[in-house]
Amino acid sequence: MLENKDAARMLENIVGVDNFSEDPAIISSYTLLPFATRMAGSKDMFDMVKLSAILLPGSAEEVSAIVKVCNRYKITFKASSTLMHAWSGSIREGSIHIDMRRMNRIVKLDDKNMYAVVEPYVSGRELAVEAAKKGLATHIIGAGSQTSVLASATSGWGHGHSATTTSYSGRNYLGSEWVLPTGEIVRWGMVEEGKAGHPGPGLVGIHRGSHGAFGALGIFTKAAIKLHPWPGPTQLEITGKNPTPGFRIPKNMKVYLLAYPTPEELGDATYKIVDAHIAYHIWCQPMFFHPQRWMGDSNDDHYEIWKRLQAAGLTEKNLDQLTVVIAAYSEKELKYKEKVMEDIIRETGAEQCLPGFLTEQDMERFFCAQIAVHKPCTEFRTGGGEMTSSWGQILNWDDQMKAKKAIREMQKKYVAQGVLTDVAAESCWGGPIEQKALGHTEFVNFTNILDLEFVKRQREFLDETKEFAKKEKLLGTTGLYVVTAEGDQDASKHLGNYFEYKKKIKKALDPNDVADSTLYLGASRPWVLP
Amino acid sequence: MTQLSKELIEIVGAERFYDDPEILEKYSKDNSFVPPRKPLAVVKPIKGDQIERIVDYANRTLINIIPTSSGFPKFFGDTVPACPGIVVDLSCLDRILRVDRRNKIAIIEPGVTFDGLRMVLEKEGMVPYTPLLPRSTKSVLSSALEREPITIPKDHWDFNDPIAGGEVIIGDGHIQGFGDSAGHTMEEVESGKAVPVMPLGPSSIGWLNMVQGAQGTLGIVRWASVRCRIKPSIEKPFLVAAQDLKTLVPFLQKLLKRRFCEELFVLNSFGLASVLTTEAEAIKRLQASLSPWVLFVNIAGYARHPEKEIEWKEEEAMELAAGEGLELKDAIGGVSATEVLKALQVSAEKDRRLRFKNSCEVMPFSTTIDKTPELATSIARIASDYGYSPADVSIYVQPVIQGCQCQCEVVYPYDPAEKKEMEKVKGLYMTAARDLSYGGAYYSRPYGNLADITYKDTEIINVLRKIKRILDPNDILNSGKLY
Amino acid sequence: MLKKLEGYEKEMYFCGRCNYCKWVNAPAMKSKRFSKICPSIEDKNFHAYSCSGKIDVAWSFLKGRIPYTEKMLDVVYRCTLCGACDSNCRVIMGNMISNNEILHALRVKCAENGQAPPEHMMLLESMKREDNPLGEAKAKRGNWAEGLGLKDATREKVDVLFHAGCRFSYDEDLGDVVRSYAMLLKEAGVDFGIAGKEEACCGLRAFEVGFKGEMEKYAEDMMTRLKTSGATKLVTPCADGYSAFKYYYPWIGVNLNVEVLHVTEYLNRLIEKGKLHFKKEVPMRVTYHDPCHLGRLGEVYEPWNGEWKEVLGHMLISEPRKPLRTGENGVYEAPRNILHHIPGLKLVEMERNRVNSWCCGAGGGVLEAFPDFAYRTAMERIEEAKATGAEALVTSCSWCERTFKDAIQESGQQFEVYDIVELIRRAQ
Repeated sequence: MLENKDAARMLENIVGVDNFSEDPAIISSYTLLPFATRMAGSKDMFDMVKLSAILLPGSAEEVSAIVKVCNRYKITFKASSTLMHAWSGSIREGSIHIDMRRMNRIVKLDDKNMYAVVEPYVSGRELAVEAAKKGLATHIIGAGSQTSVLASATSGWGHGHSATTTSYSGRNYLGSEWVLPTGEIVRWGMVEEGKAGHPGPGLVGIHRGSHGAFGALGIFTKAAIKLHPWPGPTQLEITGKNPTPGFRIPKNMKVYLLAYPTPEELGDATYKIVDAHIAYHIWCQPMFFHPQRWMGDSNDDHYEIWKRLQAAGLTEKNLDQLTVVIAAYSEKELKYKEKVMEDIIRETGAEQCLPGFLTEQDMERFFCAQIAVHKPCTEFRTGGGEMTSSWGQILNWDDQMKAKKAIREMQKKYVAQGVLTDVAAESCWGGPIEQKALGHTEFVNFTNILDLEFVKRQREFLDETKEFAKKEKLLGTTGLYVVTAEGDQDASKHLGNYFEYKKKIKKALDPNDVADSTLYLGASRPWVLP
Repeated sequence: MTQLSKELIEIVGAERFYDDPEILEKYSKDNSFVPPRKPLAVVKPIKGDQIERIVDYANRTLINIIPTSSGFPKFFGDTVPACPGIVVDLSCLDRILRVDRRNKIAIIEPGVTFDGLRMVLEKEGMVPYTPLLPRSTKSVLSSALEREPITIPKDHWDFNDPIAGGEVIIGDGHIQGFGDSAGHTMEEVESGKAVPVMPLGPSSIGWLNMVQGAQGTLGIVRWASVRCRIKPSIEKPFLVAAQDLKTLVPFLQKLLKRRFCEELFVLNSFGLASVLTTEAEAIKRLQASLSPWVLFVNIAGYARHPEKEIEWKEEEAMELAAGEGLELKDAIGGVSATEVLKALQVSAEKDRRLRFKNSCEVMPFSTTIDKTPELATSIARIASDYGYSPADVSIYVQPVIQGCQCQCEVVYPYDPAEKKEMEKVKGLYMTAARDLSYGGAYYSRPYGNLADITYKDTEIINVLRKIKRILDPNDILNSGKLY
Repeated sequence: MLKKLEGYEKEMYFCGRCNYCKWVNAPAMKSKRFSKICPSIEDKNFHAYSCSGKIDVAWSFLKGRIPYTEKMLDVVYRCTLCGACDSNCRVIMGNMISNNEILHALRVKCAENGQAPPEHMMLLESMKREDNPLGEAKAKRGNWAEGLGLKDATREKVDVLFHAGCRFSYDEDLGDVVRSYAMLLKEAGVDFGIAGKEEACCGLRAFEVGFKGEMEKYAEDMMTRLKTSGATKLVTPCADGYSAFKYYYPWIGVNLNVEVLHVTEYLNRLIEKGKLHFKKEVPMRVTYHDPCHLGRLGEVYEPWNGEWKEVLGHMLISEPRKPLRTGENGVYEAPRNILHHIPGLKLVEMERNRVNSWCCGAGGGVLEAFPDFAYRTAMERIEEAKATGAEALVTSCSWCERTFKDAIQESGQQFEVYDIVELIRRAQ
C-alpha cells in the first residue's frame, strides 16, 4: 500500500477506483519477476518486490497526472505494456506499477502513407492482421507477436524474423506521444498530423539508440510505426491444428530451408542474397529450434525428433542454417527471384536442411511460425519457464558468423559440464536487416528455472561471450550485456563512456528520479547471484 | 597577433588560419535571409585531431565555433554565425579512408564531395546515394547530416540513411562513435578491422539521431561510414507527365509500396528544367515544352539476369501506371528520361537553384505525399498573392522513408540586385512558411525563421534545450542557432 | 486425480508470462476487434485476472505471501473456466502447465477454507437439496417429458440413456428444445430412455466452484443409473454434462464405461445413416457458437501422474509422456455438419470459432456470482455474431442459450438465438 494516503487518494481519483489497486493479490501478479528480481540481486528468484499499487490509466492525460503525483510525493513508477516475461517490471520497493493495458487502440492505420499510430497495448499480431487487410506488414520482434509494438519501438530492442523487409523496431519509429518523467507531454513526429520528420535534431536520440530506455525516461502513450509491404493474402489459410497449425504457403511465396557446412559459407550466401534484393525473410536459426518451435508440440516431441535427427547425423551436419522466404507480386517477379535463388544455392553449395524430415505439412507449420511469430516463447518451454540470451549484437554479417563459430566452440565445454543444454552447436538465431549484410544474432540458452546453481554457472558462459566480444572488439551497439548495470557500465568503457551521458540524460529529464531506471542505470541493489 | 589567432594557428598552422576581410566577408552570409555576420576567423583543419583541439580550445575560451563542410554557394544560413565566432571549415578533410564493397560502405571525411566519392566507388562497381543534383562543392557527409533526401526512396529506410556509422566530437569535447563505430580506433576503421554498418546507439542514446539535423549545434562529425549501392548493369528510366500533382500521387504511392524502383521523385516543370539546363532562357524554353508536373521513375537490373529483372519491373510499372490512367514514357516534350538520368549522375558546377537567377530562397519541408497536391496549390496561390509568378517557383517532391513521408523543396529565385524583388521573396517566404505549416508542412530542417514555426511546440524545444545543455554545456557549437 | 494446489507448484514455475492466455492464438487471429480470448482480464484488466496472473496469485498464496482478500477471491472466481487459457498455453508450453487443473485446485483450496462466494454456497445448497444448481424441485425434473411417451430408463433397459441436463429440464423457455431432441430420437427409432425425476445433475457446476466432493457423488450416481439402464451410450444435449462425462469425470478417476456423445454427434450419425432427413428450406444466415464445454472442454481427459526429467542438459521431458490436451478434439464439426445439411441455411463463421471460441459467460459459477460479468461476456459474443452479418446465433448448449437470450433482452437489442434442433425442426 502507498505510505502516503493523500497520494493514494489522488492516484485513485485519476484513474478511477476500478483501475487502481493496492490489493496484495493484484500486486502479486506484477511482482513475480524472476528475471528482474535476479537483476536486483535477490537470492530468491521468486522474491516479491514490494510494490505499492497497480494503476491502469486510460489516456496520456491520466498518465501525465499520475507522473506529476509521483513527482510531488517522490513515488517511483514503472510502466509496462504487455510485460512479456515480466523482465522489465518494477524493481524498486514501494514503487507503483502502471499497466498500460487499457490504452490499446490502433489510433490510425494509414495505408497510403504506410504507417500506423498505436497505443501501448497493441500487439504485433493485432497490428499485423489489420495491416494485412491493406497489403501491409508490421515488424514483429523475435520475442513474439503477442508483444507490444510500441514498447519495442520506443523502449526495447527490436530484431525480428522479417527484418530483411520490415527493418528493426528502432528504425520503424516515426514519432511518439511521450510523457516525460516530470509529467509534461511531448508529441513529436507522425503521431500527430502535420509533423512528419524530426524537429531539427532528433529528440528521439535522447531516449532511443540501438535500444530504448526501458521506461527510465518516461512513459510512451502513442507511437507512430512504419509499415512495410505485404504481398500475401489479407488472411492466410490455416492448415492443421493447434498447438502447431500451419499456413498454406501462398502461390506467390516460396520457402527455402538451407544448410551450409560452415558459418563462413552461410555468411557468403547471405551476402549474395542481400545483394540480389530478392528475399522477404532471411533468417538464421539453430537446428534446435526446428523440433522446438514447429516440428513438435511439446518437449517430449522435441526430444523424440531430436534423437531421430541425431540418428540421421543431421545434428552434426546441418548446423549452419538459413531460411529464406521469397515473395512476389507477379508471376514474372517470382520466377525471377526463384531463378536467382537457384543460382545462389548452386553457387554456394547449399543443401536442403533436414533432408527426409520435411513434409508439406512441416513446411506449412514452419511458414506459419515465421509469419505469425507465435512460437518464440517455446524457448521458455524447454527449460521450464526461463531462458537466457547472450550476445544480441547488431554487426556486419561476417563478424556475426565469426562470433557464431567462436561461441560454438566456447559452448562445448559448458555443455560437457552440463551447464548448457546440448543443442549440438550454438543456438544462434538472427538475421540480416533491411536487405543489407548487417544483422542481429543472439545465442539462446535454455535454463532449468528450478536450479539456481545452474543459473549462476550459466553466467560464466555469458561472461565468456562478453570477454570475447570485448577482446575482438565486437561489442557492437552493446547488445544484451546492458541488461545489468555492471554490464552496461563495462560495455560503456569500451564504447565511448556513454554511461556518463546516460546519467546526465537521466538527471536532466528526471530530476526527482521517479521513473524506475533499473534497466537504464541499474538496480538499487547490485546484482549478486547466490 | 591576437591570442585567438595564436592559439588557432598553433592548432591548424598559419596556412590554414584565415582572417582576411575578403574571406571573412565570404563566410558572413549565404543565399538565405539570415542576417549576415562576419566570423572572427576561419580555420581549415586537415586532420581529425585538430578538430578535437579546436573544440577543446572553444570550451576553454567559450568562443563560438561554426562547423561547415561544404563549399559555396550555401542556402540555409545554418553556417552563418549567429554570434561572434570561428568558422571551422572541414572541406580540407577530404580523404576517402576506405571502400568496402562487400559491406557496401565507404568511410569518408567531412570534405569529401559526391564527385570525389563517385570516382573512387566506380572502381569497386558501386555508386553513391545522392540528393538531387548536388553541387560540386557539396559535402557528402554534410548532405546526410542535414537530412538532405536521397533520390532512391526504397533504400531510405530511416532518417539516418545513408549514414551507417561515424564519429562525432560533441560540444563538451567528448568523442563518441555512432552505433557499432564506437570503441574503434581510426586504424581499425581504415584497415577494415572495424566495419561500421549500424548507426543506432550504442546503448540507449541515439547519438547520430541527435546530431543529424542539428545544424552543427551539438557535435562535429569527423568521419562517417556512408552506404553505397551496387552499380546497376542496366537502367531504364521513364517520365510520367501530369497536369497536376494530384494525378501522380496514387501511382507514386503504389510504386513506393512495391519497392522496386530506383530513383523516384517528382518535379514541377520549372524544377525539372532547372536540373537539365543552366541558363535562364533555356530553362524557360524547356519548361514550356514540359507538362506542369513530371514524375521520374528509374528501374534497374543488377548483376543477376539484369534483362529479366528489368523485364518484370517494367511490366509491373507499366501495369500500375495504366491502372491510374498514366503512361511511362521515354520522353516528354524536349526531354528524354535518359537525359534526366544522366544529369543525376554527376554533380553540378552551377547549383540548380541558382540557374534562373543569381539568388534564391529555399524552403525545405517534410510532409506526407497525400498532402502535396494541396500544398502545391497553396504555394502557387501564395506566390500569386505576392505578385510572384508561380511559373518561376521550383517544387521538388522527394519521397523518403520508403514513402512514409516526403521531403519537399520550394525554391523562389530572385535577383539580389533587385531590392524590391528581394523584399517580395522575403515576405512571400515567411507567409508561405506559415501557411503551409497549417496545411501539413513540417520544418524538420528548421533553418532561420523556420525554427520559430517548428518550435512553437514548447515541450519539444524544452527537450531539445536539455539535449543541448548535456551535449554542449558551454554552448560553443553554432551558438544562437535553433534553441 | 485433481491434485491439491501444492501439487502444482512446480508447474506454476513454468509460466514464463508469455501472455498467450489472453489472446486468440496468433495464426487464427483475424482482426484486432476480436483478438482476445480471456473474458476475465478483458473485464478487469489487471494481470491477476488472466490465467498467468491467477497462477501468480496461486503461487503467492501458497507461499503465504498474500492473504485471502475480497479482491483475491474476485480474481479466483471471476472466471468462467472456459478453458481458452488451457488450450492456448499448449501452443507455447506444450504439456508443461495444467492450467485448468491449477485454476480448479485454487478454487478447491478456497472452498475448503470457506471462502466460496455466498452465491456459490447457495448453488451448493440447491444441489444438495434438489440435485440441481437452479434451486428447482427434484420432483419436477422429469416434467419436460410429459406426454412424450419416452421410456423410463430407471425401469427398462435401453441402448441409449438420454441425459437432459439441469437447465433443459427446468428452463421452460428451453423446454421445446429438449423435447425436440427427444422426439427426433424417437422418430428415428432410437432405443433410448430418460431417468426423469431420478435424473440428477452431473455435478460439474459444483466442481467448478470448488466443491469437488459433490461431483464425485454425482459421478457415482450417474454410474449407477447407467448400470441400471443397461445403456451402452450416454447421449446428452447438455454441453456441461458432456464435458463432465468426457473430461471432468475421468479427471477425478471415474470412468463411465459407456460411449458418451453429445446429441449433435448422435444426430450427425443419424444423418449419415439416412435416418434424419431435411425436407424444407430454412433460408437464413446464421453463425454457430462453439460452447466451451462441448469444444475445448469436451476433449477426453487422460490422467497423468508422472515426473519431469532432465535430458540434453536442461530440457525437461515428461515421464511417462504427459498427454497433450489441445482442445482441438472437442465437438466442433458435428453441429456444423448438421447445419450444412439444412437446405437453404447459410452458415458464416465468427472470427473466434472452434478452439478459439469466446465464452458465453455462463460457466464457472460466474452466472450465479457475477451476472454483470456474464452479461458483458455474452454481449461481446453477440457483437461478434452480428459482425458476421448473420441473422441469428445458433448453438448447442442450454447455458449458452440462456445467457445469450437474457443478455439480449437486457440490452434491448434484437437478435435471435437458436438451438440447433430448432432449425432442424424447421427443416423437417
